[in-house]
Amino acid sequence: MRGEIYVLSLLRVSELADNVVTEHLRDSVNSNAVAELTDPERQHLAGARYEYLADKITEAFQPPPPPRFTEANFLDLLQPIVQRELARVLGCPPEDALASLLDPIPIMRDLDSIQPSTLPPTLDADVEPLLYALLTGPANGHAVTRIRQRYQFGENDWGTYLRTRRWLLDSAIDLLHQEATRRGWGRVEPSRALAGLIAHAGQPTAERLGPSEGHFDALAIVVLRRLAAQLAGDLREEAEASISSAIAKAPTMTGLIKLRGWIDLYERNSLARGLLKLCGGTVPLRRVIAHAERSVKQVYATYEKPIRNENLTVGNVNEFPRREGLLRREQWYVTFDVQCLLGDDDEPVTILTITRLPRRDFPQVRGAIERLHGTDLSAVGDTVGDRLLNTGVSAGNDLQSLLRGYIERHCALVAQTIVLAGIQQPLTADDVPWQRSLRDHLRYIPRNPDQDVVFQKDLAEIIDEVREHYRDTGRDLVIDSEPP
Amino acid sequence: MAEPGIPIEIARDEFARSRPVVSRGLVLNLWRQWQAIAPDAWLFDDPTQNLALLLHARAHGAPVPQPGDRSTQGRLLRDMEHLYEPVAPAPLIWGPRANLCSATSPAIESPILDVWIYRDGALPSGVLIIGDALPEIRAQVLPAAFLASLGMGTLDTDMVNNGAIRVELPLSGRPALKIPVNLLGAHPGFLPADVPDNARDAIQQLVRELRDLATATGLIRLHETEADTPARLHQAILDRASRAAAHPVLWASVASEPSADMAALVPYVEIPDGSALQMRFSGTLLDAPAYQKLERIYRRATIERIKTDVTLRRDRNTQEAERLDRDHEAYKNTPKESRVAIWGPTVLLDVRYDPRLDREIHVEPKEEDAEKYYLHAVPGLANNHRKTAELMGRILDSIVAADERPDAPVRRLAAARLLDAAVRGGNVTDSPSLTAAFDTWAAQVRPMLWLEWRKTLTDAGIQSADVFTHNTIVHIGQSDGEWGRDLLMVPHSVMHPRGTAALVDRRRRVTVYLDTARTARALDQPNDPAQAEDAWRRVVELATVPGTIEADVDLAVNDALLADPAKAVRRVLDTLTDAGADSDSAATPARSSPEGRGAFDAALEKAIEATSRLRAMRRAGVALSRWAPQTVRASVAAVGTENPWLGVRAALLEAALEYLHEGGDPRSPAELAAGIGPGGTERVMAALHRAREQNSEYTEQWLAQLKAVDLGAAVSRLQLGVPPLERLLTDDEARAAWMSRVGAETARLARLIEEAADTLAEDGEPIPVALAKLGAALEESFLDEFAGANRHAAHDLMAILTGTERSFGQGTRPPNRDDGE
Repeated sequence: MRGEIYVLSLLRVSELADNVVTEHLRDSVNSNAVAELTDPERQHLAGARYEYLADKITEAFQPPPPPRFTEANFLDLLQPIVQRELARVLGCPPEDALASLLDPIPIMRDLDSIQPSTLPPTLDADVEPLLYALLTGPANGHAVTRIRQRYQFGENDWGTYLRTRRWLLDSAIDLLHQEATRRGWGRVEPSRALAGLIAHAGQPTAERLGPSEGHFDALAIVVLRRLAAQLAGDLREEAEASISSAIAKAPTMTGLIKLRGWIDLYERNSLARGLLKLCGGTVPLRRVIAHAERSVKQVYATYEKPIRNENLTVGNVNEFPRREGLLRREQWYVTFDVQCLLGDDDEPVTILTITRLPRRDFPQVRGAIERLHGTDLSAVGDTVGDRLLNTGVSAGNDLQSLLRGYIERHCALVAQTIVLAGIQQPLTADDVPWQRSLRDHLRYIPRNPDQDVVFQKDLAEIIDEVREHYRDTGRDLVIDSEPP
Repeated sequence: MAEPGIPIEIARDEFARSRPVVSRGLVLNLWRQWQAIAPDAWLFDDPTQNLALLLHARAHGAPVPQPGDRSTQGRLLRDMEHLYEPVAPAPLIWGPRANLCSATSPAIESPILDVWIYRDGALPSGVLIIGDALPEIRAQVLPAAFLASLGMGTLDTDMVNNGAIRVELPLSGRPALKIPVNLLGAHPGFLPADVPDNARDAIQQLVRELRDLATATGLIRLHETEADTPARLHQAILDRASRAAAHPVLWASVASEPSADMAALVPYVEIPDGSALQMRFSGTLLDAPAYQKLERIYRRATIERIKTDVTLRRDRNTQEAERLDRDHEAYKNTPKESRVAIWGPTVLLDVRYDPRLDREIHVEPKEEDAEKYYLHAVPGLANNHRKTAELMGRILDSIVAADERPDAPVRRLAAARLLDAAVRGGNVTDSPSLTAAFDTWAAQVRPMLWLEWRKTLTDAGIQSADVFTHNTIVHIGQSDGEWGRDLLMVPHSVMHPRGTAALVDRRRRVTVYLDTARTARALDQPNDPAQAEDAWRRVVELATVPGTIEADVDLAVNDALLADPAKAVRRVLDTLTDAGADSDSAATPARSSPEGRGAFDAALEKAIEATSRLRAMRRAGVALSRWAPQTVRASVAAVGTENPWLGVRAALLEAALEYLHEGGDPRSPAELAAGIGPGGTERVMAALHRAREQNSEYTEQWLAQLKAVDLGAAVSRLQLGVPPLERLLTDDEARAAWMSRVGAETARLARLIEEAADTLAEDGEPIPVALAKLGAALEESFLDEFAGANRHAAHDLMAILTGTERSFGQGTRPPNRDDGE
């Protein structure tokens, strides 16, 4: 029943949640929201209700961000209703609200820069007359407008100006930040918090979270984050253990290995590890010879008669042509046996016969098989031939095999290039089990692939340049190439 | 020292004489006097001293005019801007091409880290990490280095800066703090081998962690070199500096073959005397309010996080020891004849607690006789937790002591990083609040730092471009000065003989380190499409050439990557993805057939059906532990009555729920047993009736214990003996499908929790807002169909967020632990 723990927990600690639930709970027969929601007689309604209410509460706790501070807001600051709101936030009487918000020195300085001598330079200037001075001016516009024109920014970009020119007092900035947090606006510019206060001044809805609702300070947030990190770490270990057990139980369910690679790549940020699992390495012989026909012999390795740890051999090689296709072109194929030694036997035994392998593929396949030792064979499979077919080999001269080999050798470089080139979705697949539950893009912050650096000279060229410089200035330069 | 009341003439002379080592008191006193007397007149005859005072005053937070203001001071600041321009070149943003070009050379601005492990024989003696790192990697490496340094007691000498981290073994064998390395949430995939006992172990642990991170991500390059590399390189520079009297020398050992792959940070050496170039500042620079705020935020992200973690571990272990003690006592006090009914004949041990690392390890479940477990193993386990709690208490004391040392090592380490970033014009981007606080402080302090560095270099006849390059870092030390502790700023360069040459020329007055980073420029030309196509065509053609060797492939792919990195890497990956279209293999990114997917779904369905009742029973327990009554009712209904063993337990759980719902007291549930008060209501009685129908003997025994234990403990015992779900799955494929689905959903939950925690505002948050942010993810961790379970950390979080512990009890089966013996 999604939402029950969430809704009931929030009802316990939040007046806002209580208001939201009360507002949206229809056909209630109980005295309060908790009683209604937990009433055993109302169980049939519970599932849909909790889902709906959880969404509504989430919405209520994510209010839209406050507006930007605009030129028009300077006039608003003189409104008594705004000053009362500011006074509450800044912890001062309404008549001191402006003095607690704005620093007169930089304002005076900026006023002076556009209309010198309008005000005497003094350290104890009152803010309110300054604000009036900002909003008045000669025919060519208010002082605020002229300041904006002088510094060439837009009417809605006052926020940055207030911050960089330090019009807002540091103490006010801190309190505006706190208010923004309290209202659920998060870490917004102080000027936006100010604009938000102005916009909601006098509105009862502005009081979203009552003062009784308590507050976590910065250290409490550290504790919460540490516990969350611990929980996430525990969950990741559990996930890894579960998937490992699954693979151990059913090694032939091929998608499970991909699942593990997918989780490495997209959930654990283990880019190189994931790439190797999904793209790198060897491929089972079964795939290399997918276009050939094969016959697996009923040869088993046992405890008493294990596979000898010697090279596998290829024998009984026969080449033959066939005419194929509309034009009856001649194609050449190879048939051969793969043999190995078992126990103390002197004679090798044939474990697999491959027929109709295109002749062009034969050298790579033969090389790959003959490089294998008995202990290299996969544990998956009943007969020795099956195990050979499941064994990874690095054969194949096709593009995919070559690139797979490249990834195996230079996985780190590929991983680096992926991230630095801003590629968010290096691999896609529609066959990884349960992938709909998982991320399908990397957890690295996207980068702009066009932003890059070139080195105009290498070290040898730099050395040559230095040498030339000294030669041109007529000074001897000793080149010392002794190792350290 | 000029404090208020000292005549302005004396203060003025003192300022001019002592620069740049001027105290905050002197600066602010002079500034205030200047403002009070005549801000439009000059305080000093020398305009550069007026400028210096303005910039020093700003560095301490005084409201100094902005350059360009119409005031006299504003005009001076504008007219002399060239004297306090940035000393270091503007940082460059590296992309894939820069990385491909310079993969063999370390660079401070590189997003890929180069790590040099200094080895003394087989053992690491230090680590040098060069590179700015990707934010995600930096977030793991910085804390790991900080922790290693804290553990080794070398915070006072190590460097954990942007672009360069150097952690070295202490000279004498200081004892290490025994800190489990995962305290700061270091690389989540890293499993530490052991808790370090001494400094050598601590650095070895850091090396292992870096290795693991490098293998997992590929975003770190590892190198090894001898322990004496820094000393050898420094000595080599000094030797050449002393020989440079006659002729300039260009030391370019890259020309010698084979040149060793070694690197170190070396100071800029003044020629010919061989001393390291440096500059002093008063330690009171760090008393500026903007810096104080910045330092508080920095501490929150480092030392306070560690203290929090250790405190949490101490408290958790104390609680766990107490819980185990209670279980032991309760078992002992249960009449022997009822023990099997109440506690089950066996317990299933599926978690092993490792006291050395303070972590739980999931192990293959094994049955243990309940009597043996509760009477003999549990006291030992409780003891392990008690010992760990004591150890954590001692670690906490040590950390507090280390933090409060008179030389304030954490403060120095922070100052070193922040001042270095300020001088070089870089950012500190660990978190939004740290970034904001740093930007505010840096805007105040930078002009003064740049002015004083420019003056120092000019006075010494050194060009600033010879010292401040893309590969320069400023190390900060502390030393006793005239007026207290001074900050000593010593620029260092990355010296990598394969990629760096050192020019030693008396006329330059300082060693000049030459490397390719000096010629780095932002890329301003787009890739040449024709060249990129050509390079890729050569890769494709290789597949048609018989007998292609690896070296040919490497060369061709590298060329293609260089021609257009993004496009080439995309082509490589797309080729491999397409490759799997006809595959039936496990080792490739092959696409399995829809039939394959169907097989997973079918196997999972089988597993879901086989485990439905058991899962419902577990969910009912978890839901009750977090008070979700409607979920409990629905789950109990899903358990049904077909299986009496489960049915009786589910019915009793429902009776407990309805008793609580009617306001029953969980601490004295005798009324439930007696059927009076809240225990006598219709719903409770109906549930008990159902329980008796299923198994009256068990019901009576369970009710009987309510006289002795609280309802929470009794409810926990309803889950004793409930087997793990996997036990019900005899079919390997069904079991694999089930476990892999559980794994995938658990991985998803981990991400949900992390993402939710990331949205918490660093500076603080109203409690309901924090709960609203984390609550949904936590609920899933309890009740998700596949991965939901009772987990300690989830309950701890909910307890903090809601101000209440679990509704009561342990909910479902508590983790039974093997003592590892």
